[in-house]
Amino acid sequence: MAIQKPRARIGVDVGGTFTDFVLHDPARDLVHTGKLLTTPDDPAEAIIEGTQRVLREVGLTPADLHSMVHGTTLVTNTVIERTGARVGLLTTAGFRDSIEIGREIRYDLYDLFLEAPPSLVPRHLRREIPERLDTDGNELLPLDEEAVRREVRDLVETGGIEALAIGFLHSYRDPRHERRAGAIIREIYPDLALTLSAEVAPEIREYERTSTACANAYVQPRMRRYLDRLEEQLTGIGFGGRLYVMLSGGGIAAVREAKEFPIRLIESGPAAGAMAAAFLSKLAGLDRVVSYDMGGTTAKMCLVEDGAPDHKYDFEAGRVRRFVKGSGLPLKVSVVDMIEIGAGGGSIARVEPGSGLMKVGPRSAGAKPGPVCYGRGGTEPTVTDADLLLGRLDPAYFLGGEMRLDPDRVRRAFADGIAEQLGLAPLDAALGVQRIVDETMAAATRMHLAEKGRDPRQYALIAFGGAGPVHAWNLARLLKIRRILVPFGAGVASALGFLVAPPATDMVRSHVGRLERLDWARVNALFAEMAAEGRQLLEEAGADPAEIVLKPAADMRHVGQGFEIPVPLPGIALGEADAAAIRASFFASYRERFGRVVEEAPIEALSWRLVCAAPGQDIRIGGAPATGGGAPAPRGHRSVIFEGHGPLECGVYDRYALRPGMEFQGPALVEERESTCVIGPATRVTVDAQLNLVLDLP
Amino acid sequence: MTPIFHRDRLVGFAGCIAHSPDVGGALWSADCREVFEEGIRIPPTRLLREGVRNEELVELFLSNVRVPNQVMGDLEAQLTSNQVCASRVAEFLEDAGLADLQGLGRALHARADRAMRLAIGAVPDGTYRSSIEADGFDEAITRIQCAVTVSGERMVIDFAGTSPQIDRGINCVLNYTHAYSVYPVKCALDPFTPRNEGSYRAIEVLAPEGSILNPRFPAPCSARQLTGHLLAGAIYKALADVLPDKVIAECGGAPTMRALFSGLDRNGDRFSQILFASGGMGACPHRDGLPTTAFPTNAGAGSIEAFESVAPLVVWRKQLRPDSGGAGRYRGGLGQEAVIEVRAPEPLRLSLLSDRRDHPASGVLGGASGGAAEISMSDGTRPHPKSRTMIAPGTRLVMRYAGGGGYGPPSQRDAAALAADLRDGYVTEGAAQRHYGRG
Repeated sequence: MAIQKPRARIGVDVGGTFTDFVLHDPARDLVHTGKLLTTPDDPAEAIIEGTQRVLREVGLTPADLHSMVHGTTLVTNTVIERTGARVGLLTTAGFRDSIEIGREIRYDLYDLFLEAPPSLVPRHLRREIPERLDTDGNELLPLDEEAVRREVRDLVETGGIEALAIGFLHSYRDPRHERRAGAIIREIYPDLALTLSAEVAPEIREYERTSTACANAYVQPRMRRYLDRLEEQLTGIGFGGRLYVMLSGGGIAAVREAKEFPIRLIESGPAAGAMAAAFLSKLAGLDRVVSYDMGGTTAKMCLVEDGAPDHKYDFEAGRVRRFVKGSGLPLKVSVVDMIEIGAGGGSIARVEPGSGLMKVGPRSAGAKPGPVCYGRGGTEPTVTDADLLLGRLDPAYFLGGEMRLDPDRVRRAFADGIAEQLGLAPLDAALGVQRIVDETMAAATRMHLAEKGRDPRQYALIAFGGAGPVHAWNLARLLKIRRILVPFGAGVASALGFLVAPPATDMVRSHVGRLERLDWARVNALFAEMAAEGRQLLEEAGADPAEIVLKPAADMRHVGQGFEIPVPLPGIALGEADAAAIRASFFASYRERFGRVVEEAPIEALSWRLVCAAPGQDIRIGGAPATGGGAPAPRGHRSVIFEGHGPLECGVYDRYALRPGMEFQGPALVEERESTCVIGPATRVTVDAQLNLVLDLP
Repeated sequence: MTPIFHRDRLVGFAGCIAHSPDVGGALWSADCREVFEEGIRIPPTRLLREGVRNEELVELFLSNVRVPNQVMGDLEAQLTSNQVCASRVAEFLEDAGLADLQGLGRALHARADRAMRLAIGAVPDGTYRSSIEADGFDEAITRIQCAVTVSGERMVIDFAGTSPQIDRGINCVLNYTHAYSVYPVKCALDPFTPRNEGSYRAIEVLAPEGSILNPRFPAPCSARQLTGHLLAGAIYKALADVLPDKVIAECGGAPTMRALFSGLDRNGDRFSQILFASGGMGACPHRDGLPTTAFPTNAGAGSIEAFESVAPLVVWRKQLRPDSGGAGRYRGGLGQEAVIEVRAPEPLRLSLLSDRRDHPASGVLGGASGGAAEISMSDGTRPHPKSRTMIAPGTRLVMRYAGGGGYGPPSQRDAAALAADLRDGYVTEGAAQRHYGRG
């Protein structure tokens, strides 16, 4: 069906196991998804094959594609598996160990033998250059250009480096030494991958900025090769549209930005889920939402307010212990602010020998061997096994019936394992597994919200991922959340994020000063610089210049404090006269987060941020008109054990037979291919126009 | 402390501790003679009574501190956190359908107690002794005598024979002595069981009254960490022969070394900044010690760029100290060296709290000591390590943080590990020859 104007868009998410595809054809209001095993040696292989297949299935060709939005775990995996480039680092004399000294903090208070994350650049490849600026950008020591030439030559010729990072002190304030060193290096080695800390993360704090520069250099050669090859192969199959990448902050960007700053793709995949939740929340008219994505290994929660996920400007990659804060390498990149905890369908339950208490996760049975019920060799009971025993899952209808689950094997595993150790009946042990995993998720969510001064009772839950709808009802009950939205196609809902993400990027510059004495001309110059850079990146990413929106903010604190909070600003051309409004905005943000303010203490700003965004694509989903309500007929009944209720007889509904406007009451189960929505007693369920299940709890 | 009420009954207290920006008295130092000089003392008194603030107490307190707004701001933050804790506990009790925390508390304490007793029970019975020394104050060296007695599932840690109390601020009150004795035991024997009061019931800590670990009122104690942080090393040294796989060598960062700079900045504003940095951790039974990481405290460090943005100081170097890790089968973690130049218009006050100048962190089971701490000025003088000094503009202060002790004999060091240390400059050629007999 070749047509004149290419119009379809495709999102491609390369994950560790599967490469997911989601295609949207606006002419037909068609959303179509597909899945292929990832080809780890050359991820482009699966992308090309899957793209062709998905297009074929809806009667389109690559020439019909307007654009492809690409998310990838390549960057994060390169850091985790330590398969990046051999990197050299130039620092200010006296500071080559900043990235090894780090924050000097033990991330586990009680583990005497804890490991530090190894530096991406070993010490012999870190070289010192005589040069120094002070905190105001004054030159205390000129750049020793000869030292730059000498050290880089040695790093390349004898050190064998493939990429280089530069991190000089106070370069966020004035990048002239870094830039001059960069120019010298480009003269000698024009093709060497080079990252300046002042370009990738122009923010105060040398460890975090230099760590980001090193990580960028570390992944850059590999990402460049990969994106070059992908572009070439896409052209080869007749794709003439634009290729975009999903950034960690949930915006899409042109390939050039991805090649220059590949580290900004570190959370490319998870960002899509949050963007999907944000989109769904807008369609459903929910302005305060907790996005909840539970899969096989982890659960991810993210705050979504007014249709946009929460952001933060730092991230930790390559953790020694995946779920322990402080055990990884800090990166100054804009990411969707989500928590990830080790609670998934595959999380293993065990009894701790010391305390005799049951723990669930973070160890996961993963896809192999998987939970006991898969019958693939797993012997330790998991969350999914407990769900099966409690009646939440149908052994005959897992993955739409593709996989048969084995409840007898699970009962034996409980009986011989944790149930025996705890002196409980298998069913009680299974209920215990469910209570612990749900309480773990609830506690983490409460803490995440509490740190932002939020109360979960004022939020709705959007649940997706294979295990999300199974646990959402109980999680909401624990959090006292009254409304849950379960999107259609919970297992692939997150891929929607690729289609709806807007072109967006954010910029930062540091300039430290007390509010009453700020050099506003300098602040405005920084904003002007950021706005120009942001606009250019967005236009490259396909945004209409007239539609670009700029949102300025500052990282501020009271003088003497160690940490800053983000404060929205009234504009990007500021002056003395705005100080009162900025002060009020600081106090408003402070009060929201900490509950009270101290008016007399002076305030200072450290960094200035500019979020640049254009509107995202609007797509229509669902489509079937409301049928005028009525109650659907269950296709069967099953007994499910609910905490505090014992076994309750539940109607089992076929998700694919539900139509907008239908209503029914819990306890109930709604089954779809990739998940089962578990609905407890006294809960009203309605099907909305987008085919979401809307659960209203008592 | 804030009372927690549930169903109109007192069910517990929420509490928190925080470092106040100031507590009055002499500024930050170890040289006071009596506790009265060290700050305002407030016995347990109600700050709020039925929600109404005791304004007279607040006024009295704030009149005695240098930065009342900051002090009050932090106190209010503590109040808020207690209130959040109290309301969350009450909500938890409501959700769980419990009247109070008694039954739950008993159950959790019993489990933690059981886990610790099991861990102690696995240690062979006997009395294990050690003796360590530290710089102390001027001529008065601190000696810690430690006897750890294990009998069945109980442990007694007795510091009899330890140095007497001193009329300087490095005395360590008994509750601090207790905390810094049971904590390292928990880390070594039962690190991963959730901890509570029950974890420590099986351990008794004794220190003779009038000793530096249990001084009589009104002994000064504001720099108690300079003594208390040493206890982990003493306990591990005592247990090293019987629990070689569970302990680490002495740490260069115990006690912490801190420099506080205060005075006027270029704008004439009063400033006060502490340089946070740590020595190296002692080597482990299976791995080298972590560089620049404090144990038993866990203070962390900030950025030099941020430090320079708020203080009229320039840091010319903050770098690992080669050869400061004690030699051993596993090497101690490296300390670091910082060079700080005063760029204020007027002289600044420097307050130092440090030790390990004459007593570096010792190794265990044949491991060598780490590098000692050193503090010197560019004019060749050495400031008092536990007191206050004025420091003139243009002066550079050099601070060398101690390295951790080594584990096991250096002769058993893996050749590849030593080669890697040489390549990366953690160990120099000369030291490799001196300590390892090769290189």
